[in-house]
Amino acid sequence: MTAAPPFWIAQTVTFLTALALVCAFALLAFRSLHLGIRVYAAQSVLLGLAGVLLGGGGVGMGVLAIGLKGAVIPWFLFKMMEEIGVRRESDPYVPPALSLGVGVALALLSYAAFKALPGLSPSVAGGFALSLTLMLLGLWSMAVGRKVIAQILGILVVENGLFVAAISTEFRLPIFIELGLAFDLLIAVMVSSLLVSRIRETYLSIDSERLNRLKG
Amino acid sequence: MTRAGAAAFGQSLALIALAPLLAGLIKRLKATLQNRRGPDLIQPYRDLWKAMRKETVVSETASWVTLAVPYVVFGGTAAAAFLVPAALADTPLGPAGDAIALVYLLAVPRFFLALGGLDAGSAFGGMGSSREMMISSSAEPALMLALFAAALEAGTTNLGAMARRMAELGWAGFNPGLALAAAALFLVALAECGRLPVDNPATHLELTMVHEAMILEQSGRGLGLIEWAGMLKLAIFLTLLADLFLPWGAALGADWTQLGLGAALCVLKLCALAVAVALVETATAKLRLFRVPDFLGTAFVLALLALLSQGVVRIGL
Repeated sequence: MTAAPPFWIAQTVTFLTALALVCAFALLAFRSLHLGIRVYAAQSVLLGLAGVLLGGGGVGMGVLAIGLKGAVIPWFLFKMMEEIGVRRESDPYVPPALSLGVGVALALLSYAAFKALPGLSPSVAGGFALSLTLMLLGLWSMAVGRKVIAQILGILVVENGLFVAAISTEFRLPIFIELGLAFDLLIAVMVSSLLVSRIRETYLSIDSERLNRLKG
Repeated sequence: MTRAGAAAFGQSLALIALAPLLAGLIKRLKATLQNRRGPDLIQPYRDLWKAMRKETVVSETASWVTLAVPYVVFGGTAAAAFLVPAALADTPLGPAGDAIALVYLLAVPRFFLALGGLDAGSAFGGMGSSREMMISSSAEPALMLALFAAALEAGTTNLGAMARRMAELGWAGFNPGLALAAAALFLVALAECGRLPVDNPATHLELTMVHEAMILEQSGRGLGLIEWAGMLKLAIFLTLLADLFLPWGAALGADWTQLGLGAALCVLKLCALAVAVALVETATAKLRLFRVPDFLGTAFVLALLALLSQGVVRIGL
């Protein structure tokens, strides 16, 4: 058990993680895929900074998150979007205003779920609730996104949710597991971007709707 | 009258008198950002003076409503200015009205502006009124929720007490709930004051205008008063943002050093917010009208999250 962090660190961490939650909502609100990628990068940087500020094992995780998820993966996604020359609008299945409302309901749901769990310290419960919220929001944006890139962004947000869960516990994750996760993520993005260009070649579009159709 | 009372009264009068200067500052900053030279800081005063001296011309089909609109609009907005704390964490009308009264004092001018747009029977006026009503019906809930988030922090809806609480908080004022509410209020301010992503204040293009369409039939002194009220409304919103959502600021007592410091901080924060408005107006294009509900829906959700995180869920680690 380490000593509680000083007041300003605790407050800054709270602030950064809250902004990360706002980023997840922004992902639902924006219609432009470019902005979506930037928002994902911002969210990763915010969470990485929070990890660094928390100290201990969080420093390594945080630096890794900022470098990989804040810079490399967004750069890769931008390059992919340029290559396939996709239209920038994401037009989701559900209008943003409604989608945001569902997002708020999901947030309330996960906070209520962790409030009901006995035996968790309040800060850990808050962290887990935030993590669950991010995961649910990521899944929701995967469900409503029409373009395949929206699905990729959704699963990346789900991974950010896992990151929050990891930094909100006392012992963090061992750095090797974190490294493994990071490279997993990188490979996943690469593979899915290959998949996107294949989908684009076959169907001349990256609407996930069209994947229902059989094609020889 | 005590010195505190006089200072509270004086700050509201200063807000009314200096509102055109703030509008001029935003115009100048925008011009600088866009590599133009831009008008003088005091150009809005010259415009107002010019409008005030001119003869008022009223359409033959207009009723008394058109004549009454400028006075109601300016009166309502000026009354709202007396509810807003600026340099001192107190307001002259504090005992008479709170945040909710402020919202309704700002709603009266809007109602009369819309009536004025309809009154003369020109097509543009009606179009502007209908758009304004559409925008404000989605902006008002977000405005209410954002103010309530700050009111929950202070435990009261009295605006003076809310500013006092924020000034006392200092570093602890940087909490997620208040930040979210501030962001929501900023978006609402852009929509309510007819700034760029929602309405372009610099154009008279028929197809896109909202605020300008409603006041097309106004002229002379009436036009001047309405434009002054518009600038004052922007000043009120930015002052609210500065005093209720940014920590350190309003003076708690009425001795000269505290008052001076409060006024300096208030001016500094207003300048920072003016830069923010100018940046937004330079960086964004006007939204299509039917995208405006999405924009204000975002503001509403931000305000809702802010309210929730003040009470039910403590967002963040």
